[in-house]
Amino acid sequence: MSGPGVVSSFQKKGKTKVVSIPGTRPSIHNSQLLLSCGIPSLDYLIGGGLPVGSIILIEQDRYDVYSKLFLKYFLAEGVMNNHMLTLASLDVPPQAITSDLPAPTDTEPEEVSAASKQMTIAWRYQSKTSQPKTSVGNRFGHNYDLTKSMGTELTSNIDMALWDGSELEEGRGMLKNKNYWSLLQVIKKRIESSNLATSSNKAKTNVLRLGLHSVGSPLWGSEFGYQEKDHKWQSLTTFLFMLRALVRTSFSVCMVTVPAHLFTDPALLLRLQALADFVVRLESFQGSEKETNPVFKDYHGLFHIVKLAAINSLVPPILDSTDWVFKLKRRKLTIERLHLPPELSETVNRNQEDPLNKPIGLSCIGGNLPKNLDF
Amino acid sequence: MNMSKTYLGKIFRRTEIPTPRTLLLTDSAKVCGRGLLYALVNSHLGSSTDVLYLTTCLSPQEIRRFVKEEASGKLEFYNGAKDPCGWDSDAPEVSLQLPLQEILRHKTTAAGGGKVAIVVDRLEDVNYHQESSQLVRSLHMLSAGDNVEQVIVYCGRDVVPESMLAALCHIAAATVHLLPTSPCSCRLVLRKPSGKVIKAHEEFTLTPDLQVQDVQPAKSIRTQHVSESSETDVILAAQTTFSLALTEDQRIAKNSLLLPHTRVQTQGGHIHYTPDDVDDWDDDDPDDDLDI
Repeated sequence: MSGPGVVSSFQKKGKTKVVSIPGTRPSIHNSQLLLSCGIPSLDYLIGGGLPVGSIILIEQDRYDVYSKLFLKYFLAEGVMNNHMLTLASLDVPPQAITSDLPAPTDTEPEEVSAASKQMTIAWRYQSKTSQPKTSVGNRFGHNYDLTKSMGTELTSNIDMALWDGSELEEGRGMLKNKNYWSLLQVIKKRIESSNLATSSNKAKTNVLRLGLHSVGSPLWGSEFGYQEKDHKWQSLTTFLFMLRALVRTSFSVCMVTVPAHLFTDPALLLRLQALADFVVRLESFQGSEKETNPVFKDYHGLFHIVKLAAINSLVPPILDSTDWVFKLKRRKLTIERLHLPPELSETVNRNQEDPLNKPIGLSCIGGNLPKNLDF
Repeated sequence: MNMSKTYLGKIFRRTEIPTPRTLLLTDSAKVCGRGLLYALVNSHLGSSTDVLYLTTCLSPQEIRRFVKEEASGKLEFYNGAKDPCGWDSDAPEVSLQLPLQEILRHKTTAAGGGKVAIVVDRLEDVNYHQESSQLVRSLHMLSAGDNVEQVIVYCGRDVVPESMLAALCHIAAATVHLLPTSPCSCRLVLRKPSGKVIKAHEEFTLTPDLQVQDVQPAKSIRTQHVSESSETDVILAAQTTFSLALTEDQRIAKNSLLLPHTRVQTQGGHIHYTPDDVDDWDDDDPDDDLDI
């Protein structure tokens, strides 16, 4: 019926509102308003960026080295776009995190000219799309240099709220834990005072980035040490549930990191995963036997994508690979596909025949016959 | 091995820079970590740091015996061993039900004072009197104090709940687990502020005047299982008429013995090959015509 070129006579009443907030862009898949996490390769993996109103949960690596970097990138991106920031941490002083955000760089240091990218040997891969560059003109996503920290002239005029648990109110209702209750109050007041809630009719000119560091660690409460049968988790799970409600109904995005390796009962992590929109896990090679494994020698850890949100669609974006790794170069952190390194040693004994793949039932015919025999 | 190169040496000589703010020292029923604890206390006293010592199981007089005389003025005790709940008197010296930062308040918040190190001798006893999360939080806050050089937490790793131990390891910048081996060894985890994490297993000896010496990386894990198996060797040897083991001389003699097939090998080998008329002997490449 309506072929290409036929314009539908139905039109939306009134002018469609184009929300123009610095540092955001609509998704090409589901027209959600997206924000960058600060790491272009992570934006690519989660479908272009973080949709406004969503929560990303990061399961920390054991020593919280790389997860802190993810949080810093997330906040630095907010600083560059003049977003409102809220950072909460009990494990480290929040000031220590904000004073050490990576400095922005406008040039990509490893930019290779297009001519040298012409593939002469693996020319068939020329047509394969590489990970698209997200650093397009409208400043969605920036490049950062981890060796330098952002100057105070950039961070000083940002509307930034830091929460270190020094002012606590008694918990109420399901949220018995003072820390969770007080933080939730702070976030709620902040959303209300700056009219970011979707229920308020004021035009939105900014978004709020919430960074919550190491939620559920021993310093927040003893939830991490309990089993499910103890019924002691509700402060933590209710907190995340109510946080999601707050974030969904406002112009805000939230990045939560949790020390999942401390949880005594793995069911707690499953509940938190169910409550978040995006869940990624960092598995650092630090101190594990994988550190010396030659397969992983170029990388610093495995990057597991546990959950991707399906927003305005039935299925989440489908990724073309399942194995991802992260790598900390001197200046930046990137997420890449895991490629096995080429086997260069000559002494290796290659066993060509895989004993498991041999058809067991046809043992009298012999293994070398083609599969489809023409009789 | 140079003492200053090993991590245990660095921690106990206090040459690790910056000093780990929270140090967790654990022992078990099989091995006692008091020697190491006193070594660390003496090291702090030697570098003009005041030490606030909260003791819960030994009386201060007993601990003072291990501290150098000339430095004992800089050591201040909080006696939680005597009357921790205030049952014997209305105003106990130390009530373990209070948060740690309140017990130690008047010293840690003193402005302009010198650096202090805080020792919590047997954390599990404090844990009986207060909630775990509160205890962990107060330890963390103590270590963040301006004039606090180091918080040393000493506990038995098999008597605190597993979640408590995980929480302590989470907040500790340096963890020293003393192992029941001979010679003494410990497993350490050192988390540097830069994010680097060092895991090591190091052997050491403790001199009678409480100095950590001869630190070196542990060669192999010589736990008590090994000594048990050597015991079974002794029992077996008593039941047989011949010797199962070799003495050192016998082992050298055995290794130097030339066996028959090795004698053949020492004379050098020859390859016998009869040339064939289809053999390709010249140097040019047989695949030269292929245009690759």
